[in-house]
Amino acid sequence: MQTGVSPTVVVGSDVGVVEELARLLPPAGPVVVVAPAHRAAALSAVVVPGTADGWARAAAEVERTWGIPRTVVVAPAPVARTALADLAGPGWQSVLDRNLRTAAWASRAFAPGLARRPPASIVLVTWRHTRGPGAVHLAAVAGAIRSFALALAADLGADGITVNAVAVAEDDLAAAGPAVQLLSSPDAGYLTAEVLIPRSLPGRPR
Amino acid sequence: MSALCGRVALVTGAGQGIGAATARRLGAAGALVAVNDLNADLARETARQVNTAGGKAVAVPGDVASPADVESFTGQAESVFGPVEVLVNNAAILSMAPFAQFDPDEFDRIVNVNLTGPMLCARRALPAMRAARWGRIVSVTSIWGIVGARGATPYSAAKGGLIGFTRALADEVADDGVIVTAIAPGVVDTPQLAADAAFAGCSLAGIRQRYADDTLVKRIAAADEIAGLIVWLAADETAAFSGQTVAVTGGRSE
Repeated sequence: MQTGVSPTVVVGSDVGVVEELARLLPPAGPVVVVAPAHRAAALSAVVVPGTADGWARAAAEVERTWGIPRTVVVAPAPVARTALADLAGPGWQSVLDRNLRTAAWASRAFAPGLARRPPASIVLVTWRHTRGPGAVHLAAVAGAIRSFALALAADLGADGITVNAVAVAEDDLAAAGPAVQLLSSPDAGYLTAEVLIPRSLPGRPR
Repeated sequence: MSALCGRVALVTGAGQGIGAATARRLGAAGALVAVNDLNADLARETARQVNTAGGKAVAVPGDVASPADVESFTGQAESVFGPVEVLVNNAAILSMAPFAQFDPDEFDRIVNVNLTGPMLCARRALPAMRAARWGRIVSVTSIWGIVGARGATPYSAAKGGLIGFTRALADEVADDGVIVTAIAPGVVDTPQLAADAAFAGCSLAGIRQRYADDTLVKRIAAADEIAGLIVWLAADETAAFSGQTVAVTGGRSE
């Protein structure tokens, strides 16, 4: 299955968002989806058990089947708006697990491979906190992902791996497409430890 | 085919460094490139390089801080290629000294070139972009415009001003199909490094190493990789970045 072209890997804990993000990428090479479940036959996919060890095994399978990735894109999981008073502990923890913990485990699983064939990039797509109530958990996890990206960039910079975050509104995942394309390109080798905040048309800054 | 193929691009300060690399990249992408620089010989040399590589370029020397010059060199570009569709505000100067010792005239000159110049060029180019309902303005600011730098008060102020200018102008012209963005490079391997070395009292190799050590990727940027991002921002699908400044620093370690 290896094509000689390094694959782009899109990972995440919500298969719908992962696949939507994967479809935004240019068809420059194979795109491999790594998620807890997959339903689309159009994309190559690996199913990952929801554990750290599961991510490591999934990364190994990706390398064995498609080769060492050039870029690993981590997709966010949806966060339902919930008032703080109604936010039970399990709900809060689930948001953290499906976003921050997934980003951490997936990054840790793929980083050794990326380091063996630099330059490479990790792109952490997260949500941008927009106005409106019920978003304390969204804001918390988005802030965590951003800071995680900056810290991970410091850890991996010397290995030739860039790490950046892309923050988009909950209803504007499509805006992540150009940003992910930019951060996946060879021209972005000096762009690291930043948070890009793209916004969709009409292009007016908000 | 590149989204920039056949587009008319004006790059200021393109006699060397990031500007020259950007002109070469635009030429390679099929754009018709007007190469501006205060130094006419350097502008002609960059234009020659673009043409030799199979692109199309013309030198249009002049001072971006002079309204008369901006009118003149933009007019030259238009007469050769047509209305400017892509403007890259790259021209910049930097000299370093403690603020208390900064000569006021030098302070003004730095602000005029680095901030007023982009305003003059944008004002001159915008009417045609708005009429065509398509245009791209990419300004090269600096990480020092975000974090400030000791010994570079006018430069930091001007570059910070350019970031604000970018955001406000983007809001004004977005509905006309004109996308305004900026890029804020960290330390780039250009002739400007000599001024930094002199201010720091060390060798060129020493300042390169010092700056590289301050990044997460442990190197300074090549002009060509910054140029690649500028050309990317000038292309079609960048409306999502309207008004934004993309910092390209190799990771700030502070």
